[in-house]
Amino acid sequence: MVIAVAKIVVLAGWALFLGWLPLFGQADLARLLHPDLWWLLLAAVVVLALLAAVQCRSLSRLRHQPSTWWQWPSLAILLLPPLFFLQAREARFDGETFAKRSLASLEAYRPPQSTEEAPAADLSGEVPLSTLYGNIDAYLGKEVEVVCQTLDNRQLPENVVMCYRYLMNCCAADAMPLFIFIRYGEGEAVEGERWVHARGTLSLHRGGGVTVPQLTLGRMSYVEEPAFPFLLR
Amino acid sequence: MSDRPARPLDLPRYQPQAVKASPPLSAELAFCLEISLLVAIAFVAILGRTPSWRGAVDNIAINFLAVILEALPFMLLGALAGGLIEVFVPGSLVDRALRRRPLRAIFVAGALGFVVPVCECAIVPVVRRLLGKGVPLGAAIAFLLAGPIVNPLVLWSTAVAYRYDWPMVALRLCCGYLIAVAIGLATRHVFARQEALIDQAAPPAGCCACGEDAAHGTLPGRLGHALQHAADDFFAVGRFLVIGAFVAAVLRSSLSLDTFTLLAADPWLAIVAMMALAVLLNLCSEADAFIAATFRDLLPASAQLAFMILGPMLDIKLLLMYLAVFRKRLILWLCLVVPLAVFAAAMAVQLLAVKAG
Repeated sequence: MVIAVAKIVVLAGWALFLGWLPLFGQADLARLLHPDLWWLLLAAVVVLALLAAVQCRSLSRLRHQPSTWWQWPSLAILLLPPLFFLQAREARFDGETFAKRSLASLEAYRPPQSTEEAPAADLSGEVPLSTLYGNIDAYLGKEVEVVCQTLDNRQLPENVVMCYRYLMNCCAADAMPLFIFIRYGEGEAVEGERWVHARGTLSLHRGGGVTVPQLTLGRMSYVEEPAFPFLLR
Repeated sequence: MSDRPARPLDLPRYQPQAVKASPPLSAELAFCLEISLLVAIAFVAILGRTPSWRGAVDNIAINFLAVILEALPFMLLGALAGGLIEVFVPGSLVDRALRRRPLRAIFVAGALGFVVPVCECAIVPVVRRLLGKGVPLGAAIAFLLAGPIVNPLVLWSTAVAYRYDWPMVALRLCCGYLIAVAIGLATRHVFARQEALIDQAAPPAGCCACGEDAAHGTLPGRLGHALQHAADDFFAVGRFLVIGAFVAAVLRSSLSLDTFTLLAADPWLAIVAMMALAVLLNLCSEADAFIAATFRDLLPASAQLAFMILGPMLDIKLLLMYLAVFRKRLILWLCLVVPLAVFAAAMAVQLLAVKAG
């Protein structure tokens, strides 16, 4: 009986958690799951609610079932993800994640090649790095605005900083970083691990056998983390 | 009493876990392991509060939650589909379509993903219920391995990731299907059903593996029955999903992709490295092509293909979920033959590519 009640608590807990995320926790969910998949959570809430209702209905039948104490850890394991959510809310991918996720060793880097005919560059407002990468020729020599996160890299010249953003396919676990270089003036400084809104002229940085998009800075400001920090495929 | 006619084939059927009054030895062992795991995970969570470990645990927490939020809804939908199959698919249909022609059933099951397009997180509960309905072991294995690849959604995502490189899509489809069918055939010869499945039981009296006859009840009653089965599956498989996702998150947070590109010099080494990566990363089969495609200019196509075939068939999360259905000897068998078959297929593709110049 007690284990049956515990199962109902687990199902209801999961339903509340998954329902809360797309309805009230969108800022947190945006850092975990692609918005195209948010409907899945609501579908899961419906299934969980149905399962909980059926479990409730069968409670009276289960009243005389023997105690199954060895099932308790299994139920506790099912509750671990909502507990880790408390940590995940405050957590962010940082430079260390960038180093692990990118094929980034500059030696390995190849700019992506578009096989489709390039559409005209859209310069009205921020250009996502994914758009820039998909159509780099259209933006070369033009004034471009980007929003990205800076990263100190000692391999780079003194007045060049790397600026990156993650591209999400389905969820944060499969996100891969895209980056450009930002070249700034002598005597200026750019802080690492900060979100910036940068505007400048796009060119290609060639050196060390690699070619990377580079923004020669016109103006830049530090900004808050965007509501959707990941680029979306 | 039901006036249902007797089943034409009186083969033993698999019964998904029934709750027992006292724990068998394996349950006591599982209890100890689960307690140890809970302690270890609690330790990791506490470490995350210390400044020196905060970054690492932050990464684990994000990856863990992301994998769970992506996979759990699919697993629940799979459990629901399994429950509906259990109650609404008549045993006589399974008898006619699959049990009477077990060889043909393996070939059909390999392509069943086109009809039931489920990803790898959803497929385990579905297979669990199909086995309960009497689907032959070889066919169930073929569906289990091929379903997350031979599937319109996965093929579409592969096409998008590879910019409509149709030969790559076709290779993934054909290799996935052929490997699954071959392993289904081999498994049929190597394992008797009783040796392969947990909780083997005598055929139940009713339509359902639980022994209750819901076939002739009212529709709401039957739906309630299907939901009860889905709840059983959620509790049976869910904990393995959570453990698998946690292990995957730890690995995802500590592995550097660049390490794997160092192995690109030899094609066979690249294939092995990408297979290891597929097992460790535990990506969804609908997203893995996007990761494989990032290796396009770095590794041979055969290695990318190996990554996309092995991942949906065998990764850490799946291995743990298999424990809810199969005995350890069958899981060990799969751990041996699936990587071997994928490696052989990838090497064949590599040799053909070299020959084609």
